[in-house]
Parts: sequence; structure tokens; C-alpha cells
Amino acid sequence: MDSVDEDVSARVLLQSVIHTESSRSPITRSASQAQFQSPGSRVRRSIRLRKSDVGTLTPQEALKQSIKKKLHESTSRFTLPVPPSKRRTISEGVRKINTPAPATASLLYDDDITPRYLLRGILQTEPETSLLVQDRPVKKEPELPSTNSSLHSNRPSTGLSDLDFPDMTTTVNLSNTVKGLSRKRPRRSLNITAFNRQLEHEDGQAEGGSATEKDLSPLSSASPNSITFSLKTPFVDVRTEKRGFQRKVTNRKKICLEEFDEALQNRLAAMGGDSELSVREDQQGLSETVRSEGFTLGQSDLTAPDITHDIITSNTALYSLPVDTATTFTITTQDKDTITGTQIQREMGGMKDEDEKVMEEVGEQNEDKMELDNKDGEDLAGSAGQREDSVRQKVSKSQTVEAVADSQTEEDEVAESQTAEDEVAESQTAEDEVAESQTAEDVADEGGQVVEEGQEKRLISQSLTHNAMHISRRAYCSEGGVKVAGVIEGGRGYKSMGAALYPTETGWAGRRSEGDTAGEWHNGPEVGASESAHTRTVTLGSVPPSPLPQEDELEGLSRTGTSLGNEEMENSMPPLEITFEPENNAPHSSNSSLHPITAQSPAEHEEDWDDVEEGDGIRSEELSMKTPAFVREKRNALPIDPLATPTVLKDLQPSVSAGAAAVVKPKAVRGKRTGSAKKDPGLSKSYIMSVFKHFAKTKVSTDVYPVLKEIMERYFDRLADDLETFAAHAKRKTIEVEDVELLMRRQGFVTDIMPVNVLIEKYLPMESRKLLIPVATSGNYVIPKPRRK
Amino acid sequence: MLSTTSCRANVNFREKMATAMDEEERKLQRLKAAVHYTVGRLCQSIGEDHQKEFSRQVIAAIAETTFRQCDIFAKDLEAFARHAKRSTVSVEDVKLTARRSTALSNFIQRKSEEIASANQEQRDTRKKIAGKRKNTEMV
Repeated sequence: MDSVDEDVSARVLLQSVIHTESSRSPITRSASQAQFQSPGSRVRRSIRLRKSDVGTLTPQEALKQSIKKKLHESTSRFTLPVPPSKRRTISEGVRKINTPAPATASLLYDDDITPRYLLRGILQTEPETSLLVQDRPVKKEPELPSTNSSLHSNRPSTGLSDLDFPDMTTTVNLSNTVKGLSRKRPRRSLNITAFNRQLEHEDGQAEGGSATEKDLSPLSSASPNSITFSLKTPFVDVRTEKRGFQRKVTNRKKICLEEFDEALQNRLAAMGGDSELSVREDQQGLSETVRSEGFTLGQSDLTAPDITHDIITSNTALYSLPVDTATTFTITTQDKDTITGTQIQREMGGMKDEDEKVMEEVGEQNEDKMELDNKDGEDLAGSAGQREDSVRQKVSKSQTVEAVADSQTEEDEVAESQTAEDEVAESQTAEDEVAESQTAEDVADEGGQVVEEGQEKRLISQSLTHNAMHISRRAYCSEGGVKVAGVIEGGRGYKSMGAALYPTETGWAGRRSEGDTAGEWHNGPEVGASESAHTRTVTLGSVPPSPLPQEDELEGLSRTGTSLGNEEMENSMPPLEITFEPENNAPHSSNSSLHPITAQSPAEHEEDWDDVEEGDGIRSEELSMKTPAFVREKRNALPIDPLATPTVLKDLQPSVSAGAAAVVKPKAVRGKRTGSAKKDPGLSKSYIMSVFKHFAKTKVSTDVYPVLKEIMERYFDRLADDLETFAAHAKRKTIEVEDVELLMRRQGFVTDIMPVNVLIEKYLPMESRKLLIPVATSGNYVIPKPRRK
Repeated sequence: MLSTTSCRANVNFREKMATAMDEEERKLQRLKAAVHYTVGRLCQSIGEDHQKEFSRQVIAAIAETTFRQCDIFAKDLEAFARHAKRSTVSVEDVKLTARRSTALSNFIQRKSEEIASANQEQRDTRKKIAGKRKNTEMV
């Protein structure tokens, strides 16, 4: 890379400078302070610093921090602000190298400001980045062998390249750094951009390091290249972008070969057995969660955490839309996690927190794990026999699905992860390839449909969902698939709550059904078959559109009501239909060979679903985000619990809505299926916490989670009730956009000054905006989507 | 001459606008005073029931809150009516506004039923009278 080359050259110079300067105490404030204090405090501070770095630093923030620090240093010697990772590394590294003297520290402060010090910092940090990023002994750091080694050895974790590139996977960084290294890069010209990048690297490293530091399990360390997700605003790292364009694909391959197996193994190990899984997940999840899930509020590409994930999902997009992917992904995973977590608790009757955490972890790592989960699940299934087949199919399908739009992938991934879990649990009738292909489609369709469904069928589906949930739960229990049941129930429960937030769930359910419908139906008990089918389809999420869309419907139907789904399997109704079907046609489920549209006939909402059915053909997530669904998402996502702090409330809503958008579809499907007697767990803990933390400018303890969850549940309940009432007030049976607008008005978001469109433009991703405001991007030629009235 | 008159007209106009605004303001003030007075009376009667007294600040706060809430209610009612594609605020809108508070919504529900029944009775009696008249006429 040119930049890299430039850096290297500068770095070489700096390196020499540093070496000569090493005699002085290149200690930053922290270092000098540490000296003054006891070693323990130093450690503590470093840890604290790291933690704070991890938790709060975004690239811009890191930069600001560094600048601030510099100012502070210049003004006051012993300011306490947490220096960016860069400083820390420098100070620590240097400290290690030399025993800094207090006197020299003061000198250093001056140095900090000087360009030379900056360069030194860059140099010192730079190698760390590269070396640690690789996390392999490929450290060919010609320039800074000594410093690097010392740095590395001293801080193995901090250097870990948890680069918080919004959209780049670690592989990318790795390759870049490797390449730079291999080239003996004379890079590193001192320019602001380079410096900034360095800072970002630092941040990422620091964050990753801190995150990884916490990881004690080898598994977590095994996949070191997980990207730290920092609470970043939509900011794309310049270097990342550049690198992405240059080497992303190649990097991927490189890593995949090595890391993939590792990740797979980890996954398998983690997935092995439910209890085992929960435990493993915990272990892994904690670290992984921190690493991967971490603070992915913003652009961080959730798919990055695991190398395998990228491969599995064949996510070759250089730069996926951060908002869409991140948010949607986050949400989807969150939903899934929550559901599964809770479900597991119920099923297992005990490991509540663990399960939740596990599930969260699972969800968190969605992208990584989903693929892995699938694989893991598959492995587990293998033992069961049938599962293997299905799993393999799924895997292959998931891979095939990767080609699908990213958004879809995300959904799939979520579904896949879920399905993986399901697979593990159910391992019954192997899913047919159909499910996979269908799932992909289903996801897209389901998302849209689910959303719609959720709105309308809330009332209807509740009873159905209960049935379905029971059925699904039973199926899962029999299979031992607590997770699946949890997911399903959670999904359903959520749906029955009218939380259209998680249409993704339903989407998954639909997807699952599709997959299952292909083959499973006839196998085993109806319930089991249907359930497994459901789960299958979900796992297959990423499967390319299957020719049997009806299956999903069938599954949905069977799931919801009759669980006699066998016949339903025959129907190749698109997943969308299924979501509808279960609710509408619970009684008819048994005879599902109905055409999706016709099947829905019993539902009064049939006309409403027409559009959705049309959407069946559209498999892109974006398209599936029909107005109603999307609006529902927005509606659900926007109003966070009013009991929350005012600032948080306002902030949360937009982010949640944005995130929820993508997730809504699959959740909706899943929700339907899992809607059983079990209580809906709601969003996953990590998701809620991360969103909350993002908008809370200060630290947030984890004690808030139960309260927050309760509040959010109540909020969503009330929200759904309000929307329902509004629709009834307008003598309608469907919740429409205007209902949501009215709600927003009542909540104070839309006022005489602030119209809805402004809010839309402010908070929602592009696709949503296009749906809601057809005028905005049409260039004076508007053909608005026919809204169902 | 003309210019001066026009100027004066402008000034008059502006003054009128200002006075109109002042009128608005004054109306608001009078309304607020009315609300304050009513709140005070209510607090007084409630205080007598419980042998407690309400301080001035409390009454003022309640009055101000009530006034603002009325404003909010009005806006909501208008939004609800428009939502139902009506141009008149109806009982349904009122019920929708009050649904949050269970007691209040129950009260309103009963009241509305009473009124509806009263209206119905009135209509029935009128019909009967009209019917009798017709019969007598026919006969």
C-alpha cells in the first residue's frame, strides 16, 4: 500500500529515533503516574484505561482523546484522562523498555506534542497493530523488532487486532498489515490521515486488546481476529476503506483457510450439546461478546467477528452498508439471542442467565456464529444422523445464500444461527435443500410479510401462536433443542405481543418451515417434523430461494395451529405466506396445499397481504421491507420505553428503529412460530445494553438490564395497544402508517415543527426512506408504491 | 397626504395585529385565570373533605398543568378526529384520549352512555309523540 509504504519509511526513521531516545523516559502521563503509584495501581489503571478505551472509543473519539491528552499533557502534567490506546501502548511499551524517570516523563509530555513523539507513537503502535492483528508469528517487522517484541510480549492482548473497522473484517486488516510487513514497508509518512488511521488502529487494537484480555478461554483467543465493535458513528476508516478495496477478498481467503477451521472448531466445541453449548457459549460468549458484539452500535460489520462467518456467508462486499448491516444484523441477532436465551431457560429450567447470555452470545456473534452455528449445529446433527444431512444442506445453502444481498445474509445469518441451534436441538428430519433456498427467499419475503402480519394478526395469531409455540416447544423438547424452542417461542411470544420489532423472527420461522417442509414433514411426529422443519428453514435462512415457498407456509400453518403440518409441507407457499398462514389459517393449516394467497383467504387481511405476496418474488431484504412492515418496525423501534431517561429515550428510538428495520422481517416469522405459552423474552440482553450504552453518554452498569427489559416490554405492549386502538378508531382492522404517525405525534416526536419526513430522513436507512418517502430520491418522477388501504 | 394615510394605515394595521396578538394573549390570560380559579375552588372543597389545605404554589402548579394539558388534549382530539377522517370531534375521540387513565376512561364511558341513553329516550319520546299525533291526525 502506498500509504503503508510511506508509513514504513517514516517509521523506520522514527524507529531509529526511538531507539536513540529510548534512554529517556518515553513515558506518557499514564506511565509516569504509574511509576509514582504502586504497580498495582498501574495495572489497575491500565486495565481501567483499556476498559474505558474499549467501551467508549470511537475513531473520532480516540482522535479527540489523543488530541486532548496532548493538550492536557502540555498544560498539566498529571491529568488523568485515559489516553488513547496509542498512548497507552507507547507508554507501556516504552516503560517496559526503559524505566522511565519522572523527570523524563515531564520531558516526554512536551514530546507528546511534538511531531516526533507522535511519529514515535505511530511507529510503536504501528507494529503492534500489524503484529497483533495477524495474531500469528508472521511478524515480519523489520523496523521495530525489539520494540515490537517487547510490546507484544508485554501486551499480547492489547495488540490484538480488534480493529474496529466499521466494515472490514479482521482478515482485511491482517492482510494489509501482513502485506505491509512483508514489504518491509517504508511506510508511515507522517500525515494527519495516517495518524488518524493509526489512532483508529490503536483504538481498535486497544479495544480489541482489552476485549481480548478478558478472554481467558483458548477458544476466544483462538479467533483473535474478531473485530471489536466499537461504538462508532457511521465513520468509515479511511485506511480500511482503502484496504478494503485493495485487498479485502484476498485477505479473506488467507484467513479463512486458517481461521475458519479454528472458528469452526470453536463453534463445534461450543455447540456441542445444549448444556455444553450454554456453558461454552458463556465462556466464549463473554469474551466473544465483548469482542464481537461489543459495541457494535454503528458501522462495525457484525459479520466480522468470525472469519468463518465471512466465508460462510460469502460476504464479499467490500463495504456493506454499515447502517443496514450493522443495525439489521444487530437487531436480528439480538432478537434471536433473546428468544433463544429465554427459551433455553424455560426449557432447561434453570440456566436462565447462562442461557440468555449464551444465546446472546450466539446472537451477538451472529454473523460469525451463525455460519458457525450452522456448522456446529450441523455437526451435532451429524451425530443425530438426520441433522447432518440437513445441516450440510444448510451449510451449502447458507453458502449459496451468501450471494444474496447482504441484508438477506444478515437475516439468514440470524436465522442460520438460530436454525443451527434448532438443528442441534431438533436434528430430526433432515432439512431438504429446499428449505435452504427457500429460507433465503423467505427471509426477504418474510421480513416484509412478517411485519405486516405482526400488525394485523396480533390478535389472531396470539391464540395460534400459543398453539404453535406449544407445538414447537414440544418438538424442541423432544429433540432436546431447547434453543430452538426458545427461539421459536421467543419469536412468537414477541409477535403475539405485537412487537413487530422482530419480524425477523417470524421470518426465520418461515424460513425454517420452508426448509423443513421439503423433507421433514413426513418424518417423525408432526410436531417434531414441523418444528424441525421450522428450525431448518430458519437455519437455512441463507438458502437461495427454494422452489417450494409453500413449504414455509405449510410449516407456519402446522406450527401455529395444527402442527399437523405434514400435509402442509406439500404447499410450497412462500415463507411470507407461512407467516400469514399460521395466524390466519391455524385451523386450516392441515390442508395447506393452499396457495399462499388463498390460504390467507380466511384472514381478513388477505387483501393486505396481497402486496406481501407480491413481495414473495422479491427476495431482497430491502424490497421485503414494505411500507407496512417497515413502518411497523419504525413504530416499534422508535419509541423506547418512556420510563427511560429522557435523553436515552429520544436517542434510543432512532437507533432502535434503524436497527429493527432489518431484523423485523425474520423476527416476525419466528415470532409467529414460537408464540407459545412461554413468555416472550424480548430483545437480547447484549443488544439492549449496547443500544442503551450507545445513547447514554456515561457508563452503564449491567444491573440496569432487568429493569430496562421490563420497561421495554411494557413499552412495547403499550405501543402495540395504542396502535391497535388507533386503527380501531379509524374503523380499520389494519395498522397503517398513519396510525404510527399519530402515535409519533402523541409521543412528541412529530410536532408542528418536525414533520415525519424529517425524522425519517434523520434516522432511518436509505431503503426505508425510499419506501416511506418515494419523492425523496425519485428525481421528480414519482411512482409511489401502492399502499394498501 | 396619501403617503401619510398609507403610513398611518400601516401603523394601524400593525397596531391591530399587535392588538390582535395582545387580544390573544389577554384571552389566554383570562382563560388561565378562569382555570386557576376553578382549580382553587376544587382544591378547597377537596381539602375540606380531608381536613387539609392546599398552598398557593400547589394550586398554581395544578392550574398551569391543567391548562397545558387542556392544550394537549385539544391537539390530540383534533389529531384523532382527523385520523378518523372526520372534521368534528366526537365522543369517540374523547374516549380515545382518556383511555390511559382507567378511572377516567370508565367515568367517561359511563357518562357517554348516560348521554347516549338520554338522547335515545328523547328521540323515542319524540317519535312517540309524533306517532301519536299522526295517529290522531289520521284518525
